[in-house]
Amino acid sequence: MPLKNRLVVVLALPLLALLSLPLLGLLGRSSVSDVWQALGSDAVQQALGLSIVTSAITLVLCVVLGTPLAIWLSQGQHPWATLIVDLPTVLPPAVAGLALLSLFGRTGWIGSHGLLLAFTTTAVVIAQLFVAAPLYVRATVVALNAIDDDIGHAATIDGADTWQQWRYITIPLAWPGIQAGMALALARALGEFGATALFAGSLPGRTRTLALAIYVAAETDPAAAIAMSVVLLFTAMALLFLMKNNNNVVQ
Amino acid sequence: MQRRKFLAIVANLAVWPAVVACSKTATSGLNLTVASSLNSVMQALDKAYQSSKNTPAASIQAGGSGALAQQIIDGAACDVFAAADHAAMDKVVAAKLIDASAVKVIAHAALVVAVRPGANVPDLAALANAGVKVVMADKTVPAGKYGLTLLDNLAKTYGADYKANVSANVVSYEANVKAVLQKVTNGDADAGIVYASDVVALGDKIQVLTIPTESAVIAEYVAAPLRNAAANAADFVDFITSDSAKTIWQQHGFTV
Repeated sequence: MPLKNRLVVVLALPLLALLSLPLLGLLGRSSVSDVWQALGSDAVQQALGLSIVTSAITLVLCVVLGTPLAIWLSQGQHPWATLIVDLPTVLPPAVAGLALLSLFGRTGWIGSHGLLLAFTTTAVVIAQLFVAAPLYVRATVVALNAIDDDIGHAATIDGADTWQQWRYITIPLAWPGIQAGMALALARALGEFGATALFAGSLPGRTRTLALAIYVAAETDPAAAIAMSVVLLFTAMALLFLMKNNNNVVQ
Repeated sequence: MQRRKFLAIVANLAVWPAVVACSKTATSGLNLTVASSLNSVMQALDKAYQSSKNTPAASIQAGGSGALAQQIIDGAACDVFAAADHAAMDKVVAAKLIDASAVKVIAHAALVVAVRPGANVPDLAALANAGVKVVMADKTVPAGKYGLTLLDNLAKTYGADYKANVSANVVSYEANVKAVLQKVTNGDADAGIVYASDVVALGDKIQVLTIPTESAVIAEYVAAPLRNAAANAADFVDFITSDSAKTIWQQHGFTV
């Protein structure tokens, strides 16, 4: 037994190193004063505020719109719908941006009827929703499917109605998986770049999220870009942490 | 069981040399790192250079001049760097990767305003009208700096409020000038400030407002071979500044 565990650890180390060392390098390249200065600048505060607000809205929309979809997908065989939900996950973000433009752009199906969404904050949320919701739906479907049918049958025999089953059995059992889906969706929305750059554009205060601001800063001020990256890194960690702790309280 | 463990370890270790090997590029041509607005003209210049000197094709990387300069400083493979302004070039010179004496001016390009067909922007004054969607490059990029200078120049003709009104109409500050043009050509923006060379190939697909000479802003492109570059890097820079290259520059909308 000990030998097997040691082998697993050895095989796991290379990827763990690849994932952690670049982030440590990023932290090493920045200093506390750089990060503090970045946090104090108007541009970063605007971008950070915009990123947090849009990601939070996107997360709420993911749960509100994605949970019914996940329930439907878990209750039967829907191969086409499952494929459509999985596609944005494998599409390059730039492709997602072009796809959104073909619908919402001025020459797009919806856009040509007067609803012009490109270059708005709404566009940022839509782009984030497009790439993040599939992650939430997929995780929720997996969590719901993992619940043994027998538990539901036993509950029905004991007299529980549909609502009681959802409230006291299904949701609590699926909760860890749903929570993981929410964390994935939030992280994806926070880091979204390609689709927002193409669809929403990059205007400070309206559409320039922190990810876009870092890209622009990298042009002339690498130190600022690194400092902003550290800010984004800690923001993501803080949001994930907050979400996990709040959900445990709800449990 | 022992054999399976052994194979697992070998498979895991074998991945890494394969990853490293894949990263070594197979091309033996020059590595050209150029500003995004130089992409098509550099491809044409390289083709002409290939046929005259019988060398392999160069690999060309394009992007915002400042970001490219930073990549070169960070160690990206590069033989010749061509930037859209002196500031980006000076950064690489300051990092001691390029000799200041090797930097040459290679071409000029005038700034123009590209307008999407169907937009209500018949002249430069209309850029300040309410509701017009304007796109510019970000002020951290050469095209963005030139664009702001252009607005200052035009304010002398159109009044003190002109720059503020046009700036209020800007819906996006892009990270490179090609992204500006793309927003105009796909129809979402009404007008964008780009280089004359960017619109040359588009013909009728786009309307172009030229700037009167007294307000014109002319971008100056510079290039230099890197210190430890391949042998014919300096030769390539000489070629693109030679008389035989003039027609190619002019065909692409540049002045030399």
